[in-house]
Amino acid sequence: MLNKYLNLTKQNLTILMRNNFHLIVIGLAVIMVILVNFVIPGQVKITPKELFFDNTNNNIVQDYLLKNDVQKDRFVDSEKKLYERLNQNSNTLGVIIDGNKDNTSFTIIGQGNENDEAFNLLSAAMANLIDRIKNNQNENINIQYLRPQQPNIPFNQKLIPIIIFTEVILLGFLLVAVIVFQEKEEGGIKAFRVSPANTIVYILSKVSANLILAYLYLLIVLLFTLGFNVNYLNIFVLTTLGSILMTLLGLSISVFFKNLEEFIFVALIVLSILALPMMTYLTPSFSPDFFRFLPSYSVLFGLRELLFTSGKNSILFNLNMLLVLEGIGMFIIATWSVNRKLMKEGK
Amino acid sequence: MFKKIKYYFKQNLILSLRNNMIIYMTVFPILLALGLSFFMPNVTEIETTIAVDNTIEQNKIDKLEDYGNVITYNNLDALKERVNQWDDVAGITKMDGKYNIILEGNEPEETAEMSEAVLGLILNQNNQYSFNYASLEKDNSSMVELAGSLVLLTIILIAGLTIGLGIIDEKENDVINALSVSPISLKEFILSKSIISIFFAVVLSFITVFIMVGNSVNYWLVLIAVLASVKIGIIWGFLIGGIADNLIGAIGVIKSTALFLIAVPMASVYTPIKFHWVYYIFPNYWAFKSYQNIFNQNQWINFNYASIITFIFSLGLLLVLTPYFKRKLNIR
Repeated sequence: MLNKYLNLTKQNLTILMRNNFHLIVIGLAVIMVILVNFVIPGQVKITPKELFFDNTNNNIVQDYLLKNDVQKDRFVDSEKKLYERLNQNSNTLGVIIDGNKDNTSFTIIGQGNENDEAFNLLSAAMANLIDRIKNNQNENINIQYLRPQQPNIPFNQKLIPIIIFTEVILLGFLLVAVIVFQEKEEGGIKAFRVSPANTIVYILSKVSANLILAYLYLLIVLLFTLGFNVNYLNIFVLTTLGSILMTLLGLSISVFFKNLEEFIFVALIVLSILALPMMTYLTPSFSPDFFRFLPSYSVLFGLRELLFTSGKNSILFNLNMLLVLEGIGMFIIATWSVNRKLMKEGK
Repeated sequence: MFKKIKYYFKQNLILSLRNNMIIYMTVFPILLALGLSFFMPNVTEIETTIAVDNTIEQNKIDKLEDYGNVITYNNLDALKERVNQWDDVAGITKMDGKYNIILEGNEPEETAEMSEAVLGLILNQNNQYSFNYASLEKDNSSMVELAGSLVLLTIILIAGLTIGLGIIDEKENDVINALSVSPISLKEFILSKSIISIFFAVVLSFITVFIMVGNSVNYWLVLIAVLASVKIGIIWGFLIGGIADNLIGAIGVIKSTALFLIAVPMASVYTPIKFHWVYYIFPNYWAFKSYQNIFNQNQWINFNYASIITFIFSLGLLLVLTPYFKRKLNIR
């Protein structure tokens, strides 16, 4: 059985390599490494950016914020310029600050679609800013951290879990289908049906071929972005379980389609849904319940936890256990689907 | 010439109908538009989630609700459990007369600052700040602009994808070899393949934009933008069909190129305008600018210029790549 499994895995890898998939994977990984290390900046604001016109005596707000590393291009020197900039970029909010530090007034200018909460939050942030300038800290408020405080993750590094997630986890879904359809076209399935190997070997060989490509990508990306500062063993466990789950899901669905042309649109829909948690990842306060039930949600955040550890060990263990259970369930479904649709077709 | 184009157009149409391609290429963008419309109200009205436990007074909870969605937990342990979940939600509890903001430790700085600011403003009854609010009263939010533009880009790419997969199908069934000895020229071949895609791209862009924003945009601009940019999808389709000899090869080409097609315009949205010159070499960047102008006309480049650049750029690219397509497809 082991020999059959190894031969089939080799055969699947040959199909992929004949079509230069190993080169594509290496190429994509190198591009990602370049993007993370040299192109994507460490400081990016995805939520609406505030632009300021500081009309106070001595520009107290502008001076304070510039000293605290707020970018210079967030300030304008007239109300007219503020409106011009706001009109140019819909992802901005404007703040005009008047008066002095003892009697400050703020005019907050929105684009027209913000809710009241957004205005209130910005009002609170501005009030807090003046309090800090005046060294007026509220002694009735404490901040308590459940675990030691972690340094802020630079934006370029924050994208690494997404970069791994989209290629290693999600694409297993598509790649396995491609191999299945190619085998159908080339008659490989017919040959397999009359061979002594069973469905389990067939499925495991597909999963293994995908995993080898996934590891190749993962290693290049991690080694050249975060180096040896991460726990490779834990990351390999999580990505292996995630990739297996997605590969089995792809296999279970793809066998019900005639050809790749039909399947690819269904795949795009499934992948789009599974990719939704990326919105929560980039805007963590936006967390609809529907997203949290998707398996991709916990895998994505699990990757973040493993790459930038904050000490959620028990949650990670539970996540791995959940993925094992989901993987077993999906394996049963995949075996049933393959037996029903691939192994019996044409018999 | 028109007779030949009509004949091959008919053949392509029959093939697309037989493979259910037309159904899928119609359904996918509509589902995408419906899905985005469903999530967009939530996204544009993003509410920060604030967790509190039963030690927080009701009048404070009422005030906190002005700043976000407040969830109340029965005790401190339940509150801590919520804070410990994957997302970045701050918890608030009261101990010994003081308010404690509970965080995990891995949240961005803004989470702590924002919670402190909100709580500070609520507790400070004697603040001397005054707030006025104004609005530019734009019809479409930045999220609508982004999502709408993304859907239009997806439509022209799907139009190209169907061409690419169609060519692969013809390669696998030796139709391409037969065409190479037939009287059809590459120009006629490209036209016959493109007509269905252009037609569907226009119709679908109208339907999806209507689903997302109704009558709040000028549909002539939608038509012009799609016609100016659809060649990008067509070029992509011919690249897929030209480079790949089978389905796996096609997925390889899609994998290596789709990243640039989608990621470049998306990244440009979050890049300061002074660095946008980096994107000038990408025709999809100009197409995206043209789409963004449909939803919000206050871009750094106006609709007319963006559409003209997209049209000329993609036409030039098509002309430059034609000899390559000729060689790869072996059509005269």
